[in-house]
Formats: sequence, C-alpha cells, structure tokens
Amino acid sequence: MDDVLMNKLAILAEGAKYDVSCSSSGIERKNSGKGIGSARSFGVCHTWAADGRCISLLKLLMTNDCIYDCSYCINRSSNDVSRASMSPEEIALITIEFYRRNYIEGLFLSSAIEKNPTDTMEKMYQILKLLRRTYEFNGYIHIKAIPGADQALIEKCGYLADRMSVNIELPSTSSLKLLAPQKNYKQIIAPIENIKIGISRNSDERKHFRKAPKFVPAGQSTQVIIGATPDSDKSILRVSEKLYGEYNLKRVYYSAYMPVNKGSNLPALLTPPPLLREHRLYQADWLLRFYNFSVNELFSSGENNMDIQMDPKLYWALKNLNLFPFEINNASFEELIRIPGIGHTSAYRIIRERKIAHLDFDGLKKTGCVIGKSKYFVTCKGKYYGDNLDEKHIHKSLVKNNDYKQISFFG
Amino acid sequence: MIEMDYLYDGTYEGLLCCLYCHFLKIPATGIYQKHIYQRHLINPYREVPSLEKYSDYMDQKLKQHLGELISSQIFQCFLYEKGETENIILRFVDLCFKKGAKYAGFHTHPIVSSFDEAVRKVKYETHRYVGYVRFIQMGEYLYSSIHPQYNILPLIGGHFSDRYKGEKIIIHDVERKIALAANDGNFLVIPFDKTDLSKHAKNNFFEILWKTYFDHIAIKDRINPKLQRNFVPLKYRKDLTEFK
Repeated sequence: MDDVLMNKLAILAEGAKYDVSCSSSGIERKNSGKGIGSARSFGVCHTWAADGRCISLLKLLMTNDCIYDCSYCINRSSNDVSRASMSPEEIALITIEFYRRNYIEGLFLSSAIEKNPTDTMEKMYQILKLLRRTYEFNGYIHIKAIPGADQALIEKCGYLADRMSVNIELPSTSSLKLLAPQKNYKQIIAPIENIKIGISRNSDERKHFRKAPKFVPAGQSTQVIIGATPDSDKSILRVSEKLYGEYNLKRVYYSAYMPVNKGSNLPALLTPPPLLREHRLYQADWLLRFYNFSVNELFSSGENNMDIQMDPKLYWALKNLNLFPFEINNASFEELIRIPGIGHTSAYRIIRERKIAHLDFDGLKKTGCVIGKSKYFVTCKGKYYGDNLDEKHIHKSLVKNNDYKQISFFG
Repeated sequence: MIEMDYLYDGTYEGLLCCLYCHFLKIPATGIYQKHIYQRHLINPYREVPSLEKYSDYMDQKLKQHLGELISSQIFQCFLYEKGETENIILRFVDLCFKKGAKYAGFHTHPIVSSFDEAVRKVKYETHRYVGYVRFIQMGEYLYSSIHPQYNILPLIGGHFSDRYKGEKIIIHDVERKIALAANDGNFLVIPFDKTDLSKHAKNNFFEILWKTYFDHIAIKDRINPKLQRNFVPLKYRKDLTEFK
C-alpha cells in the first residue's frame, strides 16, 4: 500500500507543479487550542526545490484524470500519461503528517475534472471538512474554485479555505478559443466575480458580527500562461490591472509556458520557456500593485511589449527623463519610489534619515538602494553624481549588451 | 569621574543591569562577559550582579523612551552573540538616550548601522528557521536538531509553541547545547547537553514520502541550482530531511 501511495503522490505532484501560486501569506491565525497549526500573515517558505521555486504549501492534484482537452495542459485527456487519484482521507492524512514535521505551511489543492465540475468541488469540500473539522487543522489551505461547479458548494468551501483561485490561463478570448475550445471566458470569470461579491459581503457582516465566520480571508489569486499565445505584455498587464482594480485580486501569477504537448496552435516542443519575460512581467506587476504605476504609463511610448533587457521602471524612467533628477532631500515618498534603484525599504530609510540630517551621496549609498542605477536620476544636496543625464548614455552604461556572436571560421 | 569596564554573567538581565549602572552610576567603557574578559593594565573593571529590580527598571525605561519595537530589537541584537555585541548595544542605547529616540532611525550613523546589521541578520535567520526546523517522531516527542549561526531559539519559541500546542516538541540547538521544550502553548529554553539525537532515528515512511514529493515538484526544464543555493545555503542543508 505504501508503494502505491508513493507512486500516486509522485504522479499528482508532477501534475500540480505547473501551478505557480505558493504563497501562504495574508492571514494571521492562532491555534484554536484543539488541533494543530496556525497561519502567519508574512507567510513561511519551508524549502526550495531544485528549480529554485519555493515550497510552502503541499501542492497536489486530487486527480489528474481529466475530461477536458486543453492543448497547453500536460493532463489533457488525449495525452498518454499515467493517471492517478487520491482519496480525501489519504490527502488529509499526508497533509497532517507533513505539517506535524514542519515540512509545509498548509495545503494547495487543485484537481483535474474527472466527471463534472460539481463532483470535483464536492470532493474538495470533503477534504476541507476532514481537515478543518475532524483534524481541527488551523494551517493554511488554498483551493481551486472549479469553473462551472455549483455556486452554493463553492461558497461552502470558501468558509473553510483561506485562499481560493481560478486560473484564467489565457489572457484573451481569441487565445482561449484557439487552445481550450471547451471552455469560455464567461464561465471562468463567473466564480471570480462570485468570490469577490462573497468577500465584500462577508466584510460587511463582520462589521456587525465580530464572530461571523470568515469567507476566503486571504483573498483570491489567478494565473496566466506566458508565451503559449501571441498575447502582448500590454494586453496581459491590462488584464492584471483589471483584476486588481475591479475584482480585488491579491495576486496574478505569470507562468512561462513549458512546451509539454505537440500541437499546431502551440510553440514547438523545443522552444525554451520565456523565463526572462516572465521575470519582467512580475516586475511590472509589482509596479502596478505597490508603486502606483498604471499600464498606460508603462507603455506610454506606444510599444506593446516591454524591453526585455532592462527592468520596467528603468525603461519608464528613460522614456520620461524630463521628470528627473529628483533632489533626494525633498522628494516625497511617491516620487522616491519612482526612482530606478530605490524601493520601499530604502525610500522609508531615506525619509527617516532626512529628519535627522541631510543626506549626501555617501549617506545615500548606505541606505541600501542600488546606487549604480539611482545615481543617474537623483541629486544629493543639489549635486548630480551620475555623469550624464542622457538616455543613450544611461542605456549604454546600465544595459549589458548580450547579442554577441561567435565569428564563423569560414567567413 | 572614572570610567570602567563592566562584567556580567552572560544573561540579558545581566546586560540590562550593566546598562543601569552605566546610566545611573559610573559610565562604562565597555561591557564584557565574565568568563571571556581579558584584564587590562589600566582600565578598572567591576562585576555587576544580575538583580531583578535593576533589570526590570532598565527594561521599563527602554520601552518608555525607545518604544516596544526598538527594545525588542535590542534583545534580538543581544542574541547575535558575535564579537562585541554588548558594546554595540551599549553605544546604541547611549546614543539614543543622549540624542533622542529618533536617532534609532539614523541608519547611516556607524553606531546605528552596526546595530541594524546585527538585528537584520538575527531576524532573517529567525524567519528562516521558522521554515527550516524539521521534526522527527521520537516516542511521544517531536524532536528537531538545528545548527543556527545565532541564538535564535528564544525568538522562534512563541511560533512553535502555539503551532504545536497539542504536541510535545524539542528543538535542539546542538552547538550551543541548549534546547527549546514546548508543550501546551508554553515554552522554555533549557540547557541540553546531548549529542544530535536525529542520527539514531530510523527512517519514517512520511520522511521518504516527503523526499519523493520534493524530487517530483521541481520542473526539470527550469533546474537552477544557483537559485536554490541562494535560498537554502549549503550550511543549512545538513538538518533538512529533503537534502539528507
């Protein structure tokens, strides 16, 4: 039985690994006193796998046996891969035993659709009930809301889970038609909309009844695949901006597409995943969420894709050089965080330091900002330390030129 | 007024008593632990006994003048235990008391920056160990052995005693020969002079299961050992089940 379980775990972990989300943050909960576990608002990573991605939650599929045939997915019904399913009892037991040994921070449960969406959601609800009621588990639980499942069931799950997510995967209706013709956009966005309404209703309830149960307290997130379709950075980030603004999502994850399947509508099998582009999108995502940038500002020069060679803030600054340099001693917090090389931590430090003494260039170095970048965009006590405030010059000194070629032997 | 070196017994309370004497009696040139102090030809020195009324008074004054956050940072800095930690604290508290509490944010000042650096390192390692502790089942106990660089046990005690309320846990800092024992939401840091007990443990099924999971969750096309090393430096790996 043990070998069987180990095999199943291997197959289901393989199936779940393309889901990026792993955060365990956003909710602080003490142990109830009866069972095991707690949740920390800052989130805890327990280890890092060989690909350098953190492991915080036990990421698992309930089953990888799917009725859908989405061409980007490793578990599509027409693929010849080993299939496995785990029972709710097995999943709950593994979660608790891993948690007791401090391997994980909680469970991230996802699933393929074996019969129909409602049936899958029902099984997820059983696992939630087992963990929360039988084991009195207080750790973090993230589950997928399955598009098309019974609405009342999704809501019941929302009262037991900490975070729920629905993966959009493809950022436009045309891409969806191309790669996942069995799904439609309305069906995907419906549970996101419902969870959002549920969360805002719940926060009203909790104003009147302090002890009212929390509904999806750590918010919802989603994931978008990068590079499987010709969608531009701009259109992807527009979707993110809308999700953050209108649907109050906590996170949008970007996943560089690994060519796992052959298909006429897909990149060839040997195409390397666009890892750098994924990184730049995350950087731009941070600018949207924490640095008060808008998509229009990032793409003000009319391009549809970002320059992959530099970070989006530097790109924006080079296009808007007329705003610079800022004087470090009287720029506001909002201005400081717009300077390339200065983030929240160093901006707060600069502001605290200024209350005691004026900052000079040496002082700025010690605040922990990336001085090589920021020196071009600031003055310290009125003096400019970058040698030239000129777009071409800064571009040349900050961006490494990587397009060298080996000279051919035969001319 | 003469100045002198203060010697204390190595406890935080003892250090607070030295600070008390520094401000209310004779200013200190330095604070050192009793058993490692090297006598100096010219500097006079004095041993300061740990007295609760002095340490409580000093603790209260720190909180009153510098706030809860910075007084907790002083304790974190104390756990740094490298070089002249006591003197980093002495100079920092002295600066803040004489020039005002806002100097605590004066990061570019050399005294403040060495204090901040110590605090940052201790806090970072504390956060790491919240994730890095690995328990093994030993009878009715959950046992874990760790080799942290700084003395972080007092800082992770609250987290683990709350999370594992129903369990009896022991986290063993092998090199410092101390252990954190927690049960029912309370914890104690006690002397624990034993060898690393995890070496005698048999392989448990769930440990093998965890290793299987760990191997399969990585995406093969994205293997990146350098990135992995940034997050889990090699020095921490000897205590981690999945790297054994």
